[in-house]
Amino acid sequence: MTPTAPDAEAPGPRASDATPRDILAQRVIAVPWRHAGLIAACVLAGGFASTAFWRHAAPVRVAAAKPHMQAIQDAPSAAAIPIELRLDVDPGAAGTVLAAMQPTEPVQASATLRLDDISESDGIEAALRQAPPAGGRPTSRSVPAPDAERARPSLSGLAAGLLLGLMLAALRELGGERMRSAREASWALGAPVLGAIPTLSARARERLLEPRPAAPDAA
Amino acid sequence: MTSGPQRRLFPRIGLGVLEHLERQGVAPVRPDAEGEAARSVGRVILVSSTRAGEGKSFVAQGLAAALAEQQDGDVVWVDAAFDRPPADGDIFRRGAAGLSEIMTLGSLQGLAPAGVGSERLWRLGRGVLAQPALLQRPGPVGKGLAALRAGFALIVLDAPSLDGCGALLAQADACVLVIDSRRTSRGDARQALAQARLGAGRLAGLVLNHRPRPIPRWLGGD
Repeated sequence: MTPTAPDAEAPGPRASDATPRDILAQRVIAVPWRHAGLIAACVLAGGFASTAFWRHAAPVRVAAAKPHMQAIQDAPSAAAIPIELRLDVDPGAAGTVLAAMQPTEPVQASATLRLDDISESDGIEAALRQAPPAGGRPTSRSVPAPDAERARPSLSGLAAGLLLGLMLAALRELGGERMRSAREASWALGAPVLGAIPTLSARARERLLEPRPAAPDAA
Repeated sequence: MTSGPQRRLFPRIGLGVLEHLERQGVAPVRPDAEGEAARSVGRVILVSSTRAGEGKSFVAQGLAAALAEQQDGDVVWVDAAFDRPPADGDIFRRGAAGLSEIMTLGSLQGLAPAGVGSERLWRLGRGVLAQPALLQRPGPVGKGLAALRAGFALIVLDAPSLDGCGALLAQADACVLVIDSRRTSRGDARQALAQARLGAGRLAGLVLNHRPRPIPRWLGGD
């Protein structure tokens, strides 16, 4: 048998005329498209981890801040606060605690009013301004949150999870030289792709190989 | 449950192979052909891959079944993967004669390929003499393929990986290369094709196995 020369004009499957740029674009699109589950799992894990972290970390700060809070809450009048501050509270820390507690708890509002009164009346305002912030910690984190707030995942945790998920997905999709699509395989090997078979269960494979029932006669 | 698109997978691959044979001028001969055409021989389609375990057997069996429905001649699926042990449950593993005996004897005489489903689809095992080295010898390979060509319109060879195909590559009319999208790298596939010296004329096409979730067209997918 002597095969004749191939007919260049004959119709049929052709090798892809995609460019490397097309292939790269397809792979980039595939990162969120094919790995949405992985990314979502990472976001959830990030949120869960942040929730768990703050749940465990917050009681420590609560314990540290309790003396200051108790002092403020127990103060019968505005005049009592300077005494408490002098005795055992770092003025900077107390100011920070008072300012940060403002939005959530009723006692914080009254404490803030009292602090304002104090700052107008004597030289404590200057002391509060000159004093370093409590331990250099961000104000929002140095204040213990109520249980409901602590149970909520933080945005930073979710964002970290999203970032991690995207990185893992990109690593899986963009890394290596595997041929991930028919267009890429055709482009890489210069031959047409006759078919692309998804990952099938053993049962589905058996079903595909089962002989089909004969078509009824068109009588 | 297999869906409609999945049911159309192998018919589509079969059509691609038939079109390729047509373009190469080696289309399968109709059984009712007369004269010169009647003396023509069956066409050999080799299903291979760059390495073992990429899904050759699955593709070869599906392709043979599809081809049996798409043309009028008899089709035989032949287990030529001498480089690996026969699959469990293979009815030909218990000492039955097969391709290796045909390669040795040069005749189908006394051998009865098993019918599978469709009345035009047959199946032939590797036989008890199967050795990887046998595929490297052009003489026996030519003898075996000649016997099969005389008996069938299309012969679908479930072959070893490209580096183990030996003389089969040179004597097949078309090759279908199976690629596992999870394992096969571009470099490996290119290297295997270059070493096999399989020109574009005989490479009918590729079958991408374990294809990942496809990207829709509106997102720039295939």
